[in-house]
Amino acid sequence: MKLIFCFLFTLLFLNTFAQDTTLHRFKGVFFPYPMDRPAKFSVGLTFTTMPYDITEELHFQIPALDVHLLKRVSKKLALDMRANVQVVQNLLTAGPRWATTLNDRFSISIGNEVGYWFGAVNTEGIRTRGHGFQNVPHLAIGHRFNRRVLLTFRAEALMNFGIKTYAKDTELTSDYRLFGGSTYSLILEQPFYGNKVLTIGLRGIYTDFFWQTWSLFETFDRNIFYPQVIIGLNL
Amino acid sequence: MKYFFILTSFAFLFSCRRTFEAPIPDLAWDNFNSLSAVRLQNTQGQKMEGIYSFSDGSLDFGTEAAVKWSYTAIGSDTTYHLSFFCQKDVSYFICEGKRVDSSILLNGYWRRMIGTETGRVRLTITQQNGGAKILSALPLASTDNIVITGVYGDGEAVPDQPIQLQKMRPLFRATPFEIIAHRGGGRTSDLLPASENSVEIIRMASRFGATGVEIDVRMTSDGVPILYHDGTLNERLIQKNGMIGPIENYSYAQLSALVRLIKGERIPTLREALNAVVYNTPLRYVWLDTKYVGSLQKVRDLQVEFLQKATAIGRSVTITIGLPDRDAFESFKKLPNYQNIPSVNELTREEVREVNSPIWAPRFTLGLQNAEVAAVHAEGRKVFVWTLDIPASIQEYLTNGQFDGILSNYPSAVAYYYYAKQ
Repeated sequence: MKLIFCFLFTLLFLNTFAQDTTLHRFKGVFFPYPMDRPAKFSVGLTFTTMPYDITEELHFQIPALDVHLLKRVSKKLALDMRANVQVVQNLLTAGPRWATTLNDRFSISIGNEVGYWFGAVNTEGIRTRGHGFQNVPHLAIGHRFNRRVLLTFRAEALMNFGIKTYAKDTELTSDYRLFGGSTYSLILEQPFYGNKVLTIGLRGIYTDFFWQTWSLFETFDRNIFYPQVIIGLNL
Repeated sequence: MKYFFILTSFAFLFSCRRTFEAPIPDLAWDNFNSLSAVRLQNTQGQKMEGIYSFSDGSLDFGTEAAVKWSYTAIGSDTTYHLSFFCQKDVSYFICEGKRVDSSILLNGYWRRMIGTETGRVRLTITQQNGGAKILSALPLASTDNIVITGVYGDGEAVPDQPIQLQKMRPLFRATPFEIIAHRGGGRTSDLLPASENSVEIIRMASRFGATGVEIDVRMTSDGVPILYHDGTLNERLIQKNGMIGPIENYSYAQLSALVRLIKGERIPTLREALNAVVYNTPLRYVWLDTKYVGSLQKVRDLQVEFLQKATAIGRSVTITIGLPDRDAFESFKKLPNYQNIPSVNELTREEVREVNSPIWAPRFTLGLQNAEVAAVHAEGRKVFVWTLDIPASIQEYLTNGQFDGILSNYPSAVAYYYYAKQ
């Protein structure tokens, strides 16, 4: 929680000095808005806190590089591509996103992303590997507070399938539910330095299987909570 | 400031983590608690053991259940339980039994271990369905049929969903095998009725199917061996009380007076835990997992004392000192006559031979290792694999492996797949 509040205070501070130009008004990759440019790109980090139920006494946060590209297909339709990279385990997603404005302040989007995760890691000298697929339908509602600040609430359903995990050549996969859980995010995008846009978000993941924990071979069939902090810079 | 407060509110919402629980439901049942109901005797309960097939209830519990009788003895009071280890989703029933006239009533609860689902179970074996044979003084014949009927329900709801089971065959017992419950019976995160590494969970372990337990041993600042897994006092294992930091920094008196485990128990001493194993349970194996760096002499002294106590009351109990890493290994080698001290060794086969460990314990991720296991067997040692929780893998290791025991957080799943072997 300390980290979250540090981000919030940083945000407040930065906002005081933020530039106010139309160039970056709708530059956010999360904000649901019709595409007013050929592409939007952001790079940042996600920090996911592992819960006690999964990692027991090791209560740590796992950072991952977060690369996000929104490619215009038509004014309201875009291709949403995203990569979560930790080198030893990675998630790649892609899918269409349709967005429209409701009025001057509000806009919405719906979409669906299909993802593939894969990883390989040596655990105590034993080669373990895993891979699987995700399907993530999502809905987002955006609110423009003023010309500078874009707030997005995004809800996603998590569907997991094709999960395979191995220790050496032995398959060690539990039966995970297809409808594995849901996520809820609140994301703020606002001007930063130059024409950049800063993204700060909080994401609550409720799932019986979170892809970053595949190497722990856990068996719980209940939606465990993984808080995630998202920071990024829209270039 | 508006959006700052919105984000702050969201952050506070995030801090409200959902707490999962699976409490044992209220087991009040008028028929079972009537004055005419009499507790079943040990010999009667043992006759009910076997592999049963579900004809009703299979949707939630699978096709079969292994039914096993166990006891908990506290002082002169012995309580018997009939456990049903079900084929599906690591689910089980735990019941107590009474006779009413020539029928048998079984009253208890069910639990799906990998989730949070639980509820009441009320079962009956009528006189015609085998009740009379179970209650008679004569042994059961192989042709005697037992049919158990009853109902189960969700949570505290009045049970109304039908169950029917029929006995198919006896439990498999052709090869000796240890079913070892992790942390005394199961992890706190598995939402069991007692905390991990407590005396209370050790007393329950045989109800979950265990024939042995693994417990985690640490040392207090004043040199008392206690049971505790993590290196520090933390909210995962204890009720919040403001105490933090390495558990080795606290004396036993401080821990005993000020710290309570998640379910309200005291942190037990190793002496209390071994006392529970020897005098309160049918458990026959204890794996003392060494979680501290330092002399093992006090643990060794307790091992000797309780092996003698078990022998004195006619019980065959094996207590082994765990060697999970090089630190414990080196400490073990400082004990006098260490090659004759029973130990369970997680290191290499060479290190197993070096200290003459009677048990080698490789991690499950190393695979079946049939050739290596056979080689260790040839040296007269046993092999226990840890910590195996995935049901399909438990079945695979029991079917195609050659292990002498499995350490698991789900002993009921190991029990089902072991006893259901043919």
